Amino acid sequence: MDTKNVILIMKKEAGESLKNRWFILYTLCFSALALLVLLFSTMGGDIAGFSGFGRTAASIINLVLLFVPLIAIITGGVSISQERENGTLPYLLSHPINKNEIFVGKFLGILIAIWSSILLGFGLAGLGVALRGGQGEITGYLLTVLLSALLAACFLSIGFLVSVYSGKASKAIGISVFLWLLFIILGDLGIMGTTVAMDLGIKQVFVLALLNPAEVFKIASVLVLSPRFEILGPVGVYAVRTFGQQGVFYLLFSIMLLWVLVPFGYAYFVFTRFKKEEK
Amino acid sequence: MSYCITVIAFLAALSASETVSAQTIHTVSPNGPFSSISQAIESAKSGDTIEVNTGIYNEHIVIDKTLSLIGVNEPNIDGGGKGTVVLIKAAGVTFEGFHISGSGESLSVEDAGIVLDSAQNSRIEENRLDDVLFGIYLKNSSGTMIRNNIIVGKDLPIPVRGDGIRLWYSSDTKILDNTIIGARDLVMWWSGDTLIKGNKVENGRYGLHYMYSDNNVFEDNLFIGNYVGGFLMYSNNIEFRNNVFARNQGPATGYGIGFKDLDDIVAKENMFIDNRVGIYMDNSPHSVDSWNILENNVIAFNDIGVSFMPSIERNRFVSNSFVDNTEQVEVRGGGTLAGNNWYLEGRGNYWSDYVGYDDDNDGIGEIPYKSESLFESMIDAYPNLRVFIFSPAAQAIELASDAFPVIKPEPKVTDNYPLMDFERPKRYEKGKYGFSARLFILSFLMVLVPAVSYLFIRKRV
Repeated sequence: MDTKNVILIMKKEAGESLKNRWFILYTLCFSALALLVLLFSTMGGDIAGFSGFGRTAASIINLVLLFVPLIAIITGGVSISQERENGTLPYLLSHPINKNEIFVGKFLGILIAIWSSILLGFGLAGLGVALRGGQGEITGYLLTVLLSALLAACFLSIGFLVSVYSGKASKAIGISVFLWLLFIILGDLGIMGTTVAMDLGIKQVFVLALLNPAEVFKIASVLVLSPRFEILGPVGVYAVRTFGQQGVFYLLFSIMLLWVLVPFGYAYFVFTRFKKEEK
Repeated sequence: MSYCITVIAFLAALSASETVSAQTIHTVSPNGPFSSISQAIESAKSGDTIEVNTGIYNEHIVIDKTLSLIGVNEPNIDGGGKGTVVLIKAAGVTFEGFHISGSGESLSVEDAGIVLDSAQNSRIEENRLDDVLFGIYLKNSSGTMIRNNIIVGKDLPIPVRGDGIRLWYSSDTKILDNTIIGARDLVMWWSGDTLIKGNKVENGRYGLHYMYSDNNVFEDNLFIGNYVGGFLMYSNNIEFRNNVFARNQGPATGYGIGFKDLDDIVAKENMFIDNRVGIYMDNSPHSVDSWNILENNVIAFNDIGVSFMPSIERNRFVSNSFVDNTEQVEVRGGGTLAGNNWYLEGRGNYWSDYVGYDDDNDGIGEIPYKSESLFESMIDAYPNLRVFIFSPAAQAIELASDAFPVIKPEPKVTDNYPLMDFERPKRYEKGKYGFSARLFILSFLMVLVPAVSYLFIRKRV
C-alpha cells in the first residue's frame, strides 16, 4: 500500500464530501440544533448552585444519536456503490492504484469530513455557551465529543460494508436507512419488548444492550455526563459493581472500537479479495 | 393574690440562695494551680465552675458532679486514641469551649468524644471534636442543649465510623447550629419533643436516622452529600421547615429523605435537590386517619422526584415545585397514586414538564397535568428497562402512546390545577456563570479543525 496514493484519495474524498450540498446542509442543521440545545439548557439556570442532568444531556445525546449515525452510514453506503454505478470505479482502478489504497483512502477521507462537521457543531455550540456564560463541565463535554466521533466511525464502517455489497447507490441508501432505523430505534424496542415479554434478568438486558453500538454510546455518554450511574437503574448499578466505574467505560469504549474495526476489516477483506470489479 | 405573693417569695428565695452559695472558680492550666482537669473535678464541689486555660491535656475525664467546665481559647483534651474522652454522669453540667480529640475506635463499646449518661439538662456548647469515633452521645439525658459544636469523624470507611450525634432516650433536647462532617449518622432513638435547627450534616451515611421519636421539629438544616439525607421510621407528628436535602446520592439508596411508617408529617418550604430520589414514601402515613402535608417544597434535579411504594394514600402535595426531575413521580412496581391529594381548593403543584396554557392569567393551567408517560410506566414495572432511558427508542414509545391513546397508561398523578410558575426560594438566587475562557478556547480549537482542513483540502485538490 502506498501512503501517497492513500492520501491522494483521502483528500479527493474529503474535498468532495465537504463540497457536497447535502453534507453542508446537514452540518449547518447539526450545529444550529446543538447551539440551541446548549443555549436553552443554560438559560434554565440552577437552584442554590445545583443544576440537573436531565434535559440538557438527554437532548445532546438524542441529537447525536439521531444525526451522526444517519449521515455516517449513508455517506459510507454511497461511497463505493456510487462510483460503481457511475462507472468511475473501473476508471479509477485502471490507474496505477490498488483497491486497498482506494478503500482506506475513501474511508479516511469521509471520516475526516464527518469529524469536521461534528467538531464544527460542538465547537459553535460551545462558543455560544462560553460567550453567554456557561457551566464548565469541560471533561464531560470533551468526552462526549470523543464518543460522538467514535460513534460516527462505527456507522461509517457499517456503511462501507453495505457499500461493498451494493451495485447501486439507491440500494445502498435503502439498506443504510433501514440499518439506521434498526440500530437507533427498532433494536432497542425489540429488546424492551423481549424484556417485558420474557421478564429478562439484569445480565441478559445488559448484554443485549451492549450489542448495539448506538446504545453503547448512549450508556457511555450518560456515565460521562452524570456523576451517578444509578440513573441507568439496576442494570447500571450491576455494570458498575461488576466492572468498576472506570472498567465500564473501558468496556464500552472497546465495544465501540470493535464496531469500527470489525465491519471495516470485513468490508476491506471482501472488497480487496473477492469482489471482482470490471476494468 | 396570695398565690402570686407565694410565687414571688419563692423566686426571691431562689435567687438569694443562688447568690449565697457563691460558686468557686477553679483554674486549670498546664502550670497550675491544677495541671489536670481530673484533679480539678475531684476537688470541686457541685455547682462550681472550672476554667481550663489553653494547652494540651492528655486525659480521659469523668464529670460526676454538677459543674461548669469552661474552656478558654479552646484547650485540647486528647484521649490518645483510647476509650471515651469525656464522660458526663451528672445532671445540669455545662461543657463549653473545648477541643476534644483522639477517642478509641471500638464500635462495640462505642468510644466517643463526649458521652452524656443520665446527664439531664446539660449544655454542650461551642466545642470542636475531631478524630473521634462517636461525636456527642446522649443516653437518658433529656432536656439537654447541644449548640454550635463542630464534629469531624475519624477518617474510616463508612461502615466502621461512629455517629456524629446520637440521642438515646433523650427527649426535650435542643440540637442547634452544629456541623457534622464525615461521621456516620445523626441518630435519634426514643427521643421526642426535640428541636433540631440550623445544623449541617455532610458526607456521612444517614444525615438523619431516626426511630420512635414523636413531636420533633426540624428547621433550617442542611443535609448534603450523604448516602441518605434523612430516613425516618415509626414516628408521629414531625415537622420539617426550610431544610435543604441535597446531593444525597447513595450508592443504591440516595434518598433526599425517606419516610417509613410515619404519621402526621408536615413538610413546608424544604428543598430536595440533586438526590437520586428526592422524597421516598414507604407506608406513610401508616394510620388510616392520618394525613401527611407537603407544601411549598422544591423538588428539583433528582433522578426521581418522589418515589412511592405501591398503594400509599393520604399524602397531600400542594404548591410544591417539581423541577426537571428525570422522572417526576415513581410508583414502584407500577400503578397510580389516586388516593393522595395533588391539589386542594383550586391549587395544585408546579410541574416543569407541564405543557398546558393559562387562558385567564390566574397562574393556574386550564388543562390538568397528567403523569402518564408510557415509558415511565414501563420502567416502574420493569426497572431493568431504565438502562434505555434517554434513547430515541424511549422517545418513540412516548410518540406512539400519544398517537394511539389506547396504549396510554392510567395517569400516575392527575393535578387539575397545575401552577404555571415556579417560585424560586428567596434565599437562593439563580446562579450566574461568567464567561468561561477554557470552554471558549476549547470550542474555538474545535471550530478551527474543520476550517483548516477545508482550506487545506481545497488548495491541494
